[in-house]
Amino acid sequence: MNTNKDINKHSFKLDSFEKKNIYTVPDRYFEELQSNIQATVIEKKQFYQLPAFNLGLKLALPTTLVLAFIVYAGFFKSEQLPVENFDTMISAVTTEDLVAYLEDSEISTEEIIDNISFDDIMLKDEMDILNSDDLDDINLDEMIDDLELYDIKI
Amino acid sequence: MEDKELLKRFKNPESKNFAFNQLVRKYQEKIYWITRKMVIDHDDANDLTQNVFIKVWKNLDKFKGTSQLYTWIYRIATNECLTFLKKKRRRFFVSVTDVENELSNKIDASHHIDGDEIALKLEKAVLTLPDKQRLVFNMKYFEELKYQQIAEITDTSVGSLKASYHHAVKKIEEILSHD
Repeated sequence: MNTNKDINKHSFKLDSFEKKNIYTVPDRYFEELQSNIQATVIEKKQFYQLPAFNLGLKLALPTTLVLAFIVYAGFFKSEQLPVENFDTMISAVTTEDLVAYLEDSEISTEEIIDNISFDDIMLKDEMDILNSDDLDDINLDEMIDDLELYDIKI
Repeated sequence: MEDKELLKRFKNPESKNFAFNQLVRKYQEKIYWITRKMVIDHDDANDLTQNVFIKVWKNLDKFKGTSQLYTWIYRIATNECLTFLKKKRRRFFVSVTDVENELSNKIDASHHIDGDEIALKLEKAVLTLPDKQRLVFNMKYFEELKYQQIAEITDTSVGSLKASYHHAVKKIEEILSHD
């Protein structure tokens, strides 16, 4: 049987190479992974059901989309567009177009969220939740999916 | 437990948690290794694996059964990996080769890697492939999936996959022959 040492190094053939998994995992990793996943699923389910989170999303998402559009219009369209046409232009852009733009843009979800001020609508405890690690992991697609999943109307 | 039975039990609120646990137990290792081979780092693979199963939990009710369940889960996993690598490049404004070097350095530095010299060189050679081609190579060579299975997961034709895999093998063999 060919071993790795027998292989002529000047003519390496993948077929003659003995496959090996070089990656290892910490002890008992897979035994614990299942319970970790279950705990995370329960934690996120409880987080999404918080009234403060739902209220925040109802108010934040339209604000986010308008803000993103203003940035877009400000950078790319302001030189071309007379001020009196600006309102017409905003009303003509659909939410789907804005979401599609955000997907392709360099603006990260964190940057968008950083620019929203919740100070006027949130209490400190609710702000702590929104600033927690849980929200960092959620991208805009998931936020929109979650809005649909939990039947929240914007 | 068969996938059909898992799905049936998942749709029942009384057995949903049990079905999900069984599903995780059935697929967690496969999903972990797919992601680990793509992102190299154990902690990143752990995060991505958990993200995959969170998405499975949230969306399994909407699964229509037009594909196999394992195909659907694998697809979520591969999308998570590709999105992760894409974000890594975009966020830090690094080029393809910088990410490749970073992953290659993880192979050298990680405590959770154990292999002989040739095996390590092979893994580093695989890292030179573009992400999607690397994914196909990993699924075909290491996971030993059939082309048809990979086609369903990646939504690519079998012919394209064969060409992609063939080129990947040639490139890796050339790198290791000259090393």
